Parts: sequence; C-alpha cells; structure tokens
Amino acid sequence: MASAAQSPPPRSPVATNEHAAPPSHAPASKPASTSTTRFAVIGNPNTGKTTLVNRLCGMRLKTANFPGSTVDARIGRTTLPTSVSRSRPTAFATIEVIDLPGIYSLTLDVPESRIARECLEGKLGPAFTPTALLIIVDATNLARNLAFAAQTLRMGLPTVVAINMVDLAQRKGLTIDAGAMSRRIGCPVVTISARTGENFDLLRSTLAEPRVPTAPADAPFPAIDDAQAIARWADDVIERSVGGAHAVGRSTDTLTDRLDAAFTHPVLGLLVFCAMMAGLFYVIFALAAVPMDMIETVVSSLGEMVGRALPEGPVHDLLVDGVVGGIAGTVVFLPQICLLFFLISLLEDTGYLARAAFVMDRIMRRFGLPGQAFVPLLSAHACAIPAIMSTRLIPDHRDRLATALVIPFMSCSARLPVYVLMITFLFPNRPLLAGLTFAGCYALGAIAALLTAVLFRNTLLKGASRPMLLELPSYKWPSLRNALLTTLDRGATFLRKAGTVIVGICIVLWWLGAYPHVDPPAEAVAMEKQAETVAAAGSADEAEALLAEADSITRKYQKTHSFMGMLGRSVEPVMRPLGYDWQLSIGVLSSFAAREVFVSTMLVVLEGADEDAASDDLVMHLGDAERADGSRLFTTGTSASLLVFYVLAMQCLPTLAVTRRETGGWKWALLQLGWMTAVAYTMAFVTRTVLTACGVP
Amino acid sequence: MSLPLGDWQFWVVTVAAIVALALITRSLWPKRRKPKRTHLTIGGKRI
Repeated sequence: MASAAQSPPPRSPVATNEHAAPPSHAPASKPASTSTTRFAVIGNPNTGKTTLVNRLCGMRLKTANFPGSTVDARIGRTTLPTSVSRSRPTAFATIEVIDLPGIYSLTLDVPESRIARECLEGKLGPAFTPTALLIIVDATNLARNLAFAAQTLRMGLPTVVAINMVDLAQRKGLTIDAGAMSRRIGCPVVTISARTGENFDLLRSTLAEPRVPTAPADAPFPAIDDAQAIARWADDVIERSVGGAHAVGRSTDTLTDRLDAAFTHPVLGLLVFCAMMAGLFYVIFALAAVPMDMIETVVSSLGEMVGRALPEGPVHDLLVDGVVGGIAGTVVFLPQICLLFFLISLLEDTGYLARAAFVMDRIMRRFGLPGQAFVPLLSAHACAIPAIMSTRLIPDHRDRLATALVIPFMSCSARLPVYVLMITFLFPNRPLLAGLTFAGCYALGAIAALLTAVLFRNTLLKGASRPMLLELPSYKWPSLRNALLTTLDRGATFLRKAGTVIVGICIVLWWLGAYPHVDPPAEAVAMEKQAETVAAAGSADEAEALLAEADSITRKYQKTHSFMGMLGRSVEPVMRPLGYDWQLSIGVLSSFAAREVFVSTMLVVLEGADEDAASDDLVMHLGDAERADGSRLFTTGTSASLLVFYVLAMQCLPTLAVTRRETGGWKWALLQLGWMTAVAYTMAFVTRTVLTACGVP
Repeated sequence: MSLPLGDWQFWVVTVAAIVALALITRSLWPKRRKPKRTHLTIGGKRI
C-alpha cells in the first residue's frame, strides 16, 4: 500500500519523493527566502509525536516547562524546502515546532489537555502560540485518533495531518488512501513512519504548505462536544479512505477483534469476567493448601523451639503465645495472597484486564461513578490507601469524593486472611464452593460500593459523570518475570506489615489478656485437691487428667477476668445480635486498626482456652474454640455473619486517616466510617438472623 | 486481682507492650510529607 496519493492536488512541485530535500537542520545552501511558521504537534498519547519531532528537528530542540505548569514543553526548529529547481532546493522556510503532550481530548480537565487547549488558543504567551497544526494520527488506531483530530480541525489553523506507523498498519493488512482522506478532512494528509523515516521528505515539503481545513459540503466537521457525531464523522472518513480505490486490502475480522467482541460484550463480557474471577479464586484455594501446611509446620516447630529454649514465665509466654502465635496466624495466609497477585499480574499482562475495565465502566457509569474510577477501584483490591490517593487523577470534585468514599468496600488483601478462615469453616475440603464464596465476597464488596455510589450521587454529591476514553492494549503472552516481581513486592509488603503492626497488636493483646492475675476459681481449686487425693491413692493417670482440667478452667477464668476480658465483656452486648461473644468482640475491636489482625488476635485471645483441642492445625485449632458455655464458637451462622461483616466494614484506621487527608477534613472520613460500619453491622445481623430462621446453627 | 509488681519479667513484658503500642500508633497514622518544590527550567537549567 505504501503512502498512496499524498495530499490534495494541486500542490507544490516538491511534494513528490523524487525531489529530495536537504538535511533538515543544516541547509545545504543559503536559502533564497525565509519565513517562520510555528507548528503545534498534537495527537493522542503513543502516536509517535516525540519520535517525529526528533526526526524533524534533530538536535535543535529545547526542553522547558509550559508556562504555569510542570509539564515538559519541547520546542524545536527546522528548515523546509519551499521550491526546487531540478533536484536542488532553491528556497527554504524555517518552521518552529511545539511538541504538545499526548492527550485523548481537548475538553478533559487534566493538566495535559488544559495546556494543549490553552496553547492552541494562544493563552500561553507568544512563544507558545502556534500559527499552524501538525496532527499526528496512529494508522493502526484510526477511529480513536481521527475522533481526536476532529476536535482540532475546527481550530481554524492551517493544518497538516500525518498518519504515522503506516509500516505497522501495512503489516496488519490495512491500506490507507491518503488522497481520499485528504479530501474528506480538507487539508493535506501524509502517510509516514516516524520510526523508519518513510515518506519524511514528502512530509517536509507538505509542511511548507499547510492549509486551513475545509470540510466537504456533505460531511461538515462535528461539534467539539458531540461524541456521537465525532465518532460518526471518524467512521465516515475511515469508510472512504481505508480500503478505497487505492486500497489493496483492508483490516478484517482478526483474532483480536473476535476476542474483543466477546470480552467487551455487555452480557458475554460480564459472564467472562465473572467466570475468570471464579476460576482465579478456585485455583488459589486449590493450590495454596500445600504451602500453607508447610508454613504451619515450620511455624509450629519454631514455637516449640522457642518454648524449649526459655524458662517458664511471662517472657516465655509472650514470645510463644503472643509473638510466634500472632505471626503464625498471619503468615500462614501468605501463599494465597502471593497466588492472587501472581495470577492477577499474569492476567493484566495478557491485556485482558483493560477489557474488563471497559466492561465494568459500562456498569459503573450507571451508578454515577466516572470511568476514571475503575483504576482506583481495581487497585483497591491490593490496598485501599494508594487507591484513595490515586483518585486525585479524577478531575471532577464530586466524582473524586464519591470514588474515595466507596473504595474501602472493595476487598483488599488485608481481608484475605479473614475470608480464608471463615470460608474454610463454612466449606471445609470443598474448594469449588469455597472458590465461589470467595468470588462472592469480592462481588458483594463491589455491589455495596456501587449502591453506595448511587446513594451518594443522588443525595450529597449530585451531578453527572464524565465519559472515559480507554486504550485497549494488544493481547500478548504474560511476562513471568513481571508477575514474579509483583508477587514478591506484594508478599514483602504483607510480611512487613505482619512484622510491625500485627506483631505489635499481638504483644499488646497478650499483655491485656495476661493481667491482672486473679485467684483460681473454687471449681479448679477443688479439682486440684481431688487430684492430690487421687494421686495419693495411686491413680496417677486420673490425677493428671484432673490437674489438666483444673488448669484449663483456671486459664479460661484468668482470660475472662483479664483487662481484655473486661473490655470484651463491655463491648459484647453490642455485638451479641451478630452472634459474637466477648472473645469475638475483642477480635472485631482490635482489627479496627487493621483487618488482617483478626486471625492473629483470635489465636492470642483463645490461647489456653482450649488446651484440650487435639488439632495442631492453626485453622482447626480456631475451629475447635468454644464459648464460655462450652458451645462451639465458630458456628455456621457466626462464621457467615463474620464473613459478611468483614466484607463490608471499614476496619482500617490508616484508610480512615488517608480519607481525611484526601478529602480535606474529618467530615467525609467519619461519614465513610459510620456508613460502612452501619451497613456491615446490618448485613451481618440479617445474615445470621436469616440462617438461624432457616435452622442453620 | 493483682499485678505482679515484684516480678522482673512482668516489667519486661510491660515495657515490650508499651513500646509495641507506641509503634502501632506511629505506624498506623500516615506521615505528612512536605510537598516538593519545583522550578521552571529551560534545557535543564533553572530560570
């Protein structure tokens, strides 16, 4: 296909490849006449603008900031042939080039768009006021690029359109008739490859004669703010210039197109997304079992080793029960966290997640969230804190607030240990059901976020959302190295937190559970006396059993009357409707600082309370825990209620602090905390009540 | 109901708990960083 017919005739005689231009930035001979045109080079991101400007201006480029901003401004200068005698140019024109930042639209309220807009309007001062436009269009993505070009064509400046990356388009089977496109656009069009230099001489000579775009009578330029009219106009231009009279082929239904049609379909795309997530979580549950067992064995051996090395006493108990026990309750979930991030990273690398973003954007807009909210909401699955900070990218204040307020509903990695524990209690040895429930937790969080967004956008934050432009990357094989690095980073972050906040909380909780000392209860004292009598009668085994039971009763009594017990009992009436006793109330209360603390807290709180539990398995150890009346602590109803509570509750002090900082005060942060806690409490209560009504214990 | 004030190990674990509490409070509250100053430049030189 090559460059086909370039720009509309009649044109300068130099507008052919036979007339070679001199080196751009060093004219071979003194120019006969000079004139200066200042071109603003404008286009979508990643269209090769900088490569083109580099090739055009060589070393004659200066880097500065655009006035009043920190956005880089690259300004270059070059000379062009304006007339040629035989093969030798006889006249030259000097042009200046302003390399504007890549943007998707002139109307977006982001710094890059604002600068481009102000530059074209001449508001940045004389040095940054263009007298002509060079619009760069990506030949492999004409629809999106021409839609943007339509906005700039209406500026009324003399213009040249450069269709870049024609070599890539050719490889894809695309042919572009530059002459036909030029007639539709009403200004010169040149097909080039900035990377290889293909047709650059032609571009140079065309730049000497830019023309104010004049639309044909049957296809006027669309209004700048009418997205549908712009899309129709771009389609019309493509229809008439790609695969036209000069075409030798046309892009047809490729595998990418077919995959995109499925992945971005309103219904099929959503089903694929749900299936993908369910499969992901099934794999996590199925694969993580072996490394989890190995970690449990190692941590258990470590606890025994520390226990043997130290003499009995508070320091021994603090290290064995508080520190090692606390870490064990967290580190055991590391394989699942690593697997989750590894698989998500692989998925992201394939290019699928961008399609998922497209599908989700369609849904989010209906709930009053802007398209730009998808990235913060997706990253909230790792941690809500950077996600809330990334809402700064959202230009509209109300859009930004609504997004920041709903972000903590998305299931972050800190919730994973609680999810895994509760789901294991609910569906032991049933990975398929466990995987579906796991995916359900993510779905529940997302649904709560969307409904909350609807509520806020219709009450406190009324207003319309802005549309989003999204570039779908091409599909490719995922990078194993990239996925491993991401996993390593996430795993290390989790362990760092486990090594600081979680261990710290476990130490404090252990102290609160160990003091003050209380006298053993009368029941335990009586048992000890009975054990002495039995031992004197010669029945050593029976005496040992009695002593063990007395010790267990004393430990439970001590824990119940400790500072932690007092605190738990004072909170218990509030948590009782959800099925939580004082021990679970302590777990919920302490995990307000950080959700992942819950499992470790329960291990510390329940330490010694069920010494008769036969299982060495950490999860089963918790599963065997009992209430004060001897009934099972983690019943199905309580586990389900806890699961729902942790999906929906705020339970993260750092997130609260970040919301306060990002929203500029406590008002929104406290509203977020109050709303999420109320929703979590209500839904946990409903879950337990419904299960109890259905006869589930 | 009493605290074993005469036991040295009690004081060791109490100090550990206080230090842990201080570290938790400090690490949970995000630090306020000073915003970086930026300058207009041409060709990498400040103007």
